This record gives sequence, structure tokens and C-alpha cells, in this order.
Amino acid sequence: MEKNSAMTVFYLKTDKNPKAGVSAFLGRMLSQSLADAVLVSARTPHSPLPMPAVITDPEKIEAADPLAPAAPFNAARQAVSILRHESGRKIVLVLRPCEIRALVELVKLKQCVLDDAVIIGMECRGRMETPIYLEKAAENPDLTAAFYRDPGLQDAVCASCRICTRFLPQAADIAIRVIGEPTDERIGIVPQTPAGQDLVGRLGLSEGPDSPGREDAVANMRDLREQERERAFQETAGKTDTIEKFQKYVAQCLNCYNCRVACPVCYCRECVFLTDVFAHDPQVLMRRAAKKGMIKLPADTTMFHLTRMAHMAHACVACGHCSSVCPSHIPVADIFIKVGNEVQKRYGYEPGRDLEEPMPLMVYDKPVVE
Amino acid sequence: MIYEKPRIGVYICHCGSNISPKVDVEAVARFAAGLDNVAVSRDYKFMCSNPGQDFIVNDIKQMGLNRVVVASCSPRMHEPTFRKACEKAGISPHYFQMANIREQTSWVTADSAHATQKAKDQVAAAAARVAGHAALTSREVAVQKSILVIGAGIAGIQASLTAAEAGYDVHLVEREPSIGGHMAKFDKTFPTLDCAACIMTPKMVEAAQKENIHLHTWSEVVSVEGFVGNYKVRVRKKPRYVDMEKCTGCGVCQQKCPVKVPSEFDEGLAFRKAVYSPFPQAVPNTPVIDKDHCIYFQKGKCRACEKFCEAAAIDFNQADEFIDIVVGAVIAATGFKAFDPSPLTAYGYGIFPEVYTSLEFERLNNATGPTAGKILMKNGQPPRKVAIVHCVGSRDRHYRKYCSRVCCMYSMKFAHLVREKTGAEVWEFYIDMRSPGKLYEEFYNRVQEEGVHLVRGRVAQITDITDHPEDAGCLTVVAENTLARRVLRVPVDMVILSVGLEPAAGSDAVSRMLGIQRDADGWYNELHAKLAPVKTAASGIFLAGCCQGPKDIPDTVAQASAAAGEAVSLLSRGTVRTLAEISYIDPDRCSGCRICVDMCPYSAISFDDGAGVAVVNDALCQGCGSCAAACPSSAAGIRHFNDGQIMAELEALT
Repeated sequence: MEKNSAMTVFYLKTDKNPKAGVSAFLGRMLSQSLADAVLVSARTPHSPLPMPAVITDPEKIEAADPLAPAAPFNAARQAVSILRHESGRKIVLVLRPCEIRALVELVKLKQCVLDDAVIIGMECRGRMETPIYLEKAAENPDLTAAFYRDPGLQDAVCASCRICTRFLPQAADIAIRVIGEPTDERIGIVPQTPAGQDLVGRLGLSEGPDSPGREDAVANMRDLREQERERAFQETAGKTDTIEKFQKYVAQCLNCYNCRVACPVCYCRECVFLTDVFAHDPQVLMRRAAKKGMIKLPADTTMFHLTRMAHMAHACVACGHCSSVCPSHIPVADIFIKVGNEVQKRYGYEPGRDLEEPMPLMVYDKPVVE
Repeated sequence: MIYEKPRIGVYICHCGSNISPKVDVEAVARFAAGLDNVAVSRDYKFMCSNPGQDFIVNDIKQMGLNRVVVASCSPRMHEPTFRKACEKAGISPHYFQMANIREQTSWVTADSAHATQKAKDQVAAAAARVAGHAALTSREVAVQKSILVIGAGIAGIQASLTAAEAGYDVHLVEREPSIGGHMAKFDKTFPTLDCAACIMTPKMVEAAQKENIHLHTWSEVVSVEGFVGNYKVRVRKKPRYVDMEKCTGCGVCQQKCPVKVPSEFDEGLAFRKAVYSPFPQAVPNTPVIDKDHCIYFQKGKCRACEKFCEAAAIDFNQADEFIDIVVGAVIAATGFKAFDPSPLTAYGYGIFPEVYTSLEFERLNNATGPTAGKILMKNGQPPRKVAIVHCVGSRDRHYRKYCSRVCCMYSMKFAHLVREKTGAEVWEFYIDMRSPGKLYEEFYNRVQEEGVHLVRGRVAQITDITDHPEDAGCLTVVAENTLARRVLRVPVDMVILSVGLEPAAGSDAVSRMLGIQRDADGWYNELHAKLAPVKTAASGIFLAGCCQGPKDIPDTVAQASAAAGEAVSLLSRGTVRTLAEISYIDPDRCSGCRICVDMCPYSAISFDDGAGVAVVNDALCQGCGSCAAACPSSAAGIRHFNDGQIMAELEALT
């Protein structure tokens, strides 16, 4: 995707209801036949918790609520389920930055094709853990609008979001701008690629100058997050810097593999931990027990986390869903984000930054001879 | 398939006194007898001997063993021996596992108790692993009856002639306009002082005339695909702009061409034309047009060569031509390049006109060279005093740590020739004089007797600052005579730098194309330094000459003949067996991410778009395991090294 050097900002009026503003914007894409379908987080009749939904009928689009501070999982997986092959349909995807990053990695891993898809990325203030979101939503029926005006609510986002510094939708065709914007009045729409420009151009939105204080708001948010991240990394390092400490860190693991299922970049059809390799013969377990006098079951829990880390740390998009789904409340994401950050730094690789950026170990760099 | 309970026989080898006193082999054998599935456990002096192998054969037959472990030396040494014994007794050769308790244990472990414990662990791991072995199969494929030789110096020419003599088709590819390589530049050769041209040109002509040698000069190999016995090779024939069929080699074009270019063949000491043959005895003698210097190609005018060519052989419209050939074996003979001494600024090369490299001196001394073989300085006068500096770039931790092997001998050859031709005083500065070889020491003695000053000491500096007015215009060589323990300052007219040898430019690209390894210095790695000196880890690829390491002409010719012998041996067998220990991809587990496709160094994995999974070509796969390591879901695995087998081995160790 080519980047525009000078970004033009268009504005959507929100009238104190940013959710309605965005859904109307998406609805026009369907009614003007600019898109055949929109994949977007939307409320269902059964729960206030927004779930990814494929919407084709402009009448149904009002359910869309991508700005809600909730995400039960990383929607890149759901995006893959409709992008597996070329479909010939024009699909608009509304995703969070971490979801876009995961999707880019999955395209590199040939798990889907972007084809004619247009990615709309939201600037992301974070998501709440699902139980917290449900609690707050019960107290406040208009939680989405309240979230953008109330810093108290913004502080209730999950641990991974609090340390996320990549909250701008870098690889998106169109960005939905909320940071530093008066969201009760308006939110920004910024085309970032020719495809994005083309789509926005057909919607006849009004252009406007950058909101005052916008740049400062982004910089402040990044500064705060970086400080918070540094602190979190140090804390996690203290808990995991020896193998004994790491074993303690994951000691409550049940081998439920929820973290692996939630991980958007764990793309294997069948995880190696479900194969014969780890389905030990009773003889093996007895021999292990005999050697130490006692072994814990299930076996291989530390091995599982280390193996998964070796497989995907370079591609970790820091979405934090592995922590969110852990029934034993192990802060899986804290260690994965930290290790991912170190591995990625070493390879000069940023997952999800660019479709053309080759994955580490897939390319041979000539050693630099001094 | 009928499930058989594993019945393992374990055999611990003493290896004479290599394993036995350090490792308590009886204790290891007693330990092994108690391991799961082990039916019998023995120790013996030499398991690889006939009686040793008979234990295995008899136990398999009489005790119904179906798995065998031998704890002895490296599998690279005797795995084939014991596999054959298993086969002889009627079980699959893959039902065998070797524990290397010699190289990995007895030779390298100081403490005896520690070594014995380690040997026990290794045997336990091998026994746990062998239980999970599968009987693998492979198939025979036909071998193409032709050979590719890359590089037509003396190594490539010799290998080609030997193989062609045996009746095989040889494709000899040379990137320069003529075959001959470095040896064609030499005048005399040590130690017998044969004229290089006299012994070289007949071989060049023979290579050109042999019906089954196909010369591809001014050509480069651009790709090699396939596997032992069946390599698909693509050769790029660069445009000569002279029609080889029509050209009579009369040389008129070279006379008429108005452009002068420093001659690469003459090391820049003379000029050639833009249309040129590198030297008078070039094979083929069809010239090439150097597009970068040709006025017609650069400015669109001239065409003098075309005008005067009676045979109408000039063809400015020639373009790259690609030739596809299929061969059964490849001989790499890519040679060397001489070390460039410019970075050693203290020696003044490129600054003082009378400082020469050894290759420049070869041309200066050559009858077809710029001075017609007279050793003259740039002012046309013969030198009165000449210094020869050994080990320039070699045995130097800043450049090349190794000894280039040929420099001492050629330096003494130079000393002899200078004495003989000019009577000049010769000063040789050496670190150690190395003359191992038939008649080499005798040559050293002869040069000593000829009155050459031999100074043991590394030259510190070559300067144009002279100590006495009568030496004005001379160069001063500053060195310590380490035997006399004093510093010498020797005024000379001419200095020859005996530069070392480095791998040829582009040899790294060739090694990647062929899938062969290079050592830390860039030389191609042979399979075994002593027992497989011309084979490589890629079967069907052989090495000849300096590409494997610095060597002189006698060694090069011997090695080239050996490489041809190995290649001919492979070709005359007619078939090769494909590897059994190769990769497989489980289509039910493959996610289709294609990481393995990009990782495979042998291009053996393709993607089946219909099924959406990666597929291994069993004839191309060399079993390196890159795919298995890269595949996160273990859909890709290596037979005989699958996850289950490796985990079983680890389980037994921990």
C-alpha cells in the first residue's frame, strides 16, 4: 500500500453519537454499492457485546459499533474466514490496529488474500476485558460515546492496551481518527492509500483542517503508553528472567490451549501439541515420574509456552487476547509482548507494518564485512 | 502392517584401545541389558571387523532381533558397515542406530567415570530411538552420461580430458574468451622449469579437438537444478559479436581496431584492442568484442573490424544465448584469484612503478608478454638488484591466515630466472622456506647455490628513501634478518611481491548454485579432508584444483584426474539410489503458508494449488531438514529424524 504524503482529513458529524456517525458512513458504502459487504464489530440481538459481523444489507448497518471499547477476540481470524480465496466481491473490513497487523501477517503466511478488500482502521484507545465491558455497559447504555469523553472509562482498558504504542492504524486504506478529536461533534476520516482515496472520494464528505491539539494528543498518548510499557516490561522481566521463575509464572497452566486459539498469528491447522509427539506413551510418563519421584500433570506446560513463543514471537502483534482468555489468569500476553518486542527489535522487523516486509528467517542477509 | 514388539541387540565396541580404557565398556553393556526392549547386549574389541559383524548377523537370525544399536565410532565412519550387516541378516538397514561413544565421548572426556556415564546415556538414547525406527524405501534412478566442468584452467581441462577419454560427454564452461586459466600466463614451472606453454597448449588444443568435449567459452553457468545423476544446467553464452563458425582467426580485426585497452591477460602491463583474443595461443582463437570499450557500441560509429573482416564474421547483433544441458555429475574447477596487495600500503604497490605482483612478473618474464620475455624495468633497463617478498597477504592475521602453498616455490623460480636472465643480485625475504614436494627441496638447494641472498624475516617497509647518494632512484627494502638479529636496508631496482591465493571472484555464487559449502576462507569444502578429498557433501558434485584450497600444478592435475575418476565411477554405475531419509509433508496438517517452499535450498518443495498444500519432490530432496525446522505445525518432517524419534532420544537422556 502506498502512503500519501499529505493527508487530507474529512469529517463525519456525530451529534453526540459517534456510533451512529460511523455506522451511517459505512451504510452509505453499501447503499451506493461501493462495497458488497462490510466486516465490522456489531451488536447482536442477544448481547450488548459487539461481535464481528458480515453485513450486506444497509438496513442492518446501524448495529455496527466498531468504536465500542470491546473485542472478545482479535477479528483478523474472522477476516481470514471470509478472505480465504479471491471472492470477486468488494469487502470493506473495519478493524483495530492490532487486528490489521495480524491480518497482514496472515496474508504473508498465505492464509488469505486481500484482493479487493479495503481496510478501514480505527485509531484505538483500547478495549476492556469482556466482563468489565459488560458491567460498564449495563450501567451506561451509551457506553461508546461516553468512553471517548470520559478518561476514567479510558483507564479501564485491558493491560495490553495500556502499554500499546501502535494505536494508529498504519497499514489501513482509511483511518478513522478519534484521538484529539471532539468525538461528540465529529470524527475524522483519513484516506491513507489510493484505494482509500478513491472510496472516500465517492462518498462526498467535507474536508477540513486538522483539529487543534490533535498532534499533541497523539504524542501525549504515545509518551504515556511508552512509559507504562517500560514499567510493565521491567516488572515482567523480574518475574521471568530464570527458567525456574518462568515455570512459576506459567505454573497454573491447564494445557487448555485457549491462548493458542485466541492468538491471531497461531495459524497452524493442527498444533504440534495436539499430535502424537506430545501424546506420550504411559511408559514415558512413568519413566519421567521414576526419575524425579514426582511429576506434575498435565505434562509439558512450560514446553508448550516456550515452543509457542519460539514459533510466533517474531509475529506477535501485542493484541493481548491470550491473557484475556486464560482461565487461570496467567498474564500470558505480558511475557509474549515483551519477548516479541525483543525478538522483533533484533530482526528489525515489525509485524503488520507492511505486506512487503519479509518475515525474519525467510530472507538471507549478507553479513556485513568490516 | 503387523505390529512387532521391538527386540533390540546392543553392541558396545572397544575400538581397540580407543574407547575401552576410558569407557568401562563392560559396565555399559550390563547397563544396556536392563533397558526397555533390549534382548541382548554385548561388548567386543572391534565391532567393525568380520567377527564383530557376525555377532550382529547371528543374533538377528538366532534370537529374532529386529533392532540393532552399535555404540562405537562416528556413523560417518561405519554406519554403512552395520547397516549392511542388518540387511545381510534380513532386517531393514534403517532398523539400526549408532551411538558415537568415541569422537563424542572417549576421545574428548577426561574423566573415566564421567565418560562411562555419558556412554550409558548415549546408548539409552539410541535404544529408545531405534524402537521407533521405520523401514524406509528408496528407488533407483538412471544417471545421465555426461559431466559439467565449471572453469577451464588446468584443473578443468585435465578433468575434462580424463572424463572424455573414458567416453563420456563433457561440457566445459569458461567465463573468459579462452580456456587456459592462470597456467596459460606462466612461462616456466617449478621445480623442473618446464615451459608452461609447451606442456599446456597441447592439452588446450586436445580439449578443443576432442569430439565429446563441448567447449562453452565466454559463457557462465547461471543455474544448476536437480540431483545426483540428473542435473539440469543452464549456461549463458555471452555475445562474442564474432561468428565462431565464420571467423578464421586471422587477426585482422585486432590490427585494425583503433581502441587500446589495458590487457587483463598481461596484468595491465600491455594493451589489447577492443576486439581481442587474450593471447596468441587462445583456444578458441575467435576474438570477442569488448562492448564497454568498442567505439561502435559506445558511440555508434567505427565498424573498422567489420569492414576489414574478409570472412564477414563480425555480428554486432548477437545477444545472450541460453543453452540447457543435462548432466549426471558436476566438477567445480573455479580456481583462484591472486591477492591484491594494494591495502598493504607499506609495500608501495601501485605507488612505486618498480613494485610488481608475482602475476605481473610472470607476464614480464613470459616470451609472449609485454617485453617478449626480457626482464626489464619500466625504463627499459634490466634491473641490477631485485627483491622478492614472500607471504604477501598470506600467513598474515590481518588478511589471510593460511599459507598459500605455492609462493615459496614460485619465488625461488623467480630468483633463478632473474639470476639466469639478468645476472642481477637477488634478495629473497621469507618467513619460513616451504619446499615439501618431489624435487622441491633440491630446487631450493640449487637456488641457494646460485648465490641468491635468502633473508629470514618479514619485510617491514619498501620506500623510495635511500641511504646513499649512489642509490638514488632505487627502492629500499627494510626488513629484520631474524637469524642475524639485525635490521637490513637493502637498495634494489625492482621488487616482486609474492602474493597469496584467494578463492576466485564469483566462487561464492557458484557454491550456492551447486549447494556445496565453503570454509571460513571461502574455499570449497571437500567431504573428508583425507578420505574423500574431491567429493563434496552434495553427492555428484566434485572438486578439482584451487577452488578447494591453494595448490600447485602437480597437485591440481592429480586432483583433477581424481575428480574425473570419481565422476566417471558414478556415471559408469548407471544408476543412483535416491535418499531414503528425506522430507515428507503431511497434507492433513499443512496450513499452506509456503514458508518451506521458500526455505528449501534444493527447490524440492512445490505448492499444490488444488489441494492447498506443499509437496516434496523425493528425487530432489536431500533431507537437510530446513523445512522441518521451519514448519511450526510439524507438517513437514524428515524420515528417520521425525519428531517422535528425536523426542524418544531426548526422553531417554533427561
